[in-house]
Amino acid sequence: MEPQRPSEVSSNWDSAYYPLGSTREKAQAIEITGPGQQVKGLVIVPGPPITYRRLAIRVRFPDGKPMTTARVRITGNNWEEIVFYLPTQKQPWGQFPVPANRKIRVEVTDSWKRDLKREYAAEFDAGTTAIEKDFVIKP
Amino acid sequence: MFGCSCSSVSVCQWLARPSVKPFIGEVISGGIDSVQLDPWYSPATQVRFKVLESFGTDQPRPVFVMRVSPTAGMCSPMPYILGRRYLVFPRTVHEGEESLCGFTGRLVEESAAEVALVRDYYASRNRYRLRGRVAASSHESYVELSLLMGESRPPKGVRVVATQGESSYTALVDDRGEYEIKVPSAGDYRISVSSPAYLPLEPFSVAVPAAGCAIRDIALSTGNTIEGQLRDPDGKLLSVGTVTLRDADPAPPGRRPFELRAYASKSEGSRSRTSLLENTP
Repeated sequence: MEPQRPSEVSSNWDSAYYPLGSTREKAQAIEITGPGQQVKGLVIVPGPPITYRRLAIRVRFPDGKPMTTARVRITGNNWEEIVFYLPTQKQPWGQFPVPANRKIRVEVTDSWKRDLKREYAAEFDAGTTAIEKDFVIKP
Repeated sequence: MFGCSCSSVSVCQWLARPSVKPFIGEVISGGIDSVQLDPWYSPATQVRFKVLESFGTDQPRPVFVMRVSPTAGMCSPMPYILGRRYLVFPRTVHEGEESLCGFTGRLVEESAAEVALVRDYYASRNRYRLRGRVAASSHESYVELSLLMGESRPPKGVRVVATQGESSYTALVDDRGEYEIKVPSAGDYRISVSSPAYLPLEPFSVAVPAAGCAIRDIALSTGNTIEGQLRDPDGKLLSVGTVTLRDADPAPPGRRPFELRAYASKSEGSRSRTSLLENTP
């Protein structure tokens, strides 16, 4: 069976799949069978407009120094971002927009795959208020 | 003054340097010994390895202490992490010698093909090799990055053939997008690539050296495009948006899933056009 190759649109509109109104499971496959094939006339319609909320994250060690190797993965229902957390002395917080209409999960791991000994994660219900989360990594 | 450019040195280039004696070692002290240390800004000045396997020497050392300098961190991180095993190419930089900047080790668990290559090379088995990566990409210099970032997936059913005179040597591209052809001698080889799923590629020549090996990445093209429009639920054209193509196939081990994004722009009148699509073999 051919794998499905859904088309997803994201901007200030919610994501959606091709064709109109389909879910990820019902997305239509766009079949490419050989070299030089041109598929034209595809019309993609995104979901309804959505708003974003501010997510502020700080990842630090107990002595206050930022964890500059942190890898932050932010997921929601059918939405995912892996962000670069690049703190500076003046700005230890990283700020990211996240969809307001989804429950959000934030996970912190080490970008060099070192064992952090325990899970560092937090979940936030859908809402419009800004989120602040301070992760303290114990070496 | 000391200066360097930020380019990585391939295993083939290392093997071409007889003065460099590689080894496989486990970091037992020094290096990155705390999760609080960032390999990009490491204060470490040395790394102590327990040597597990030595190459090119009759007098292997049980322990190797390597000095690491801040210069290495200028062009790349220094991720010799405590407890991990590395294939190491220790070098000595003398006055007048070409300087090779950057991290020169390979994490063993992520470099099975390179470790096998070094073992075979020093055992003098299949000494002459041509290797590289293959992917749909706009240029051969982007092939490695395209595979790493998941913008291209390892192609299936692609054969790379090296021909010299009447003799041909063939390799099938593996599930990591890599190929390796063992040839009987150094010299020039004519390379051709065959796959029904990609546009034909003009054959080209590669010189296999007497020392080390040759690396040649190969960029394939499908010539496929998908073109369309973004419209809001009322049918109005959208001038900005992102269309993402994802493959539902599981990604090969160590690779990210295939994903390609196309951006609609005002200049294209809300058309979204993308190319380099993978074919279904």
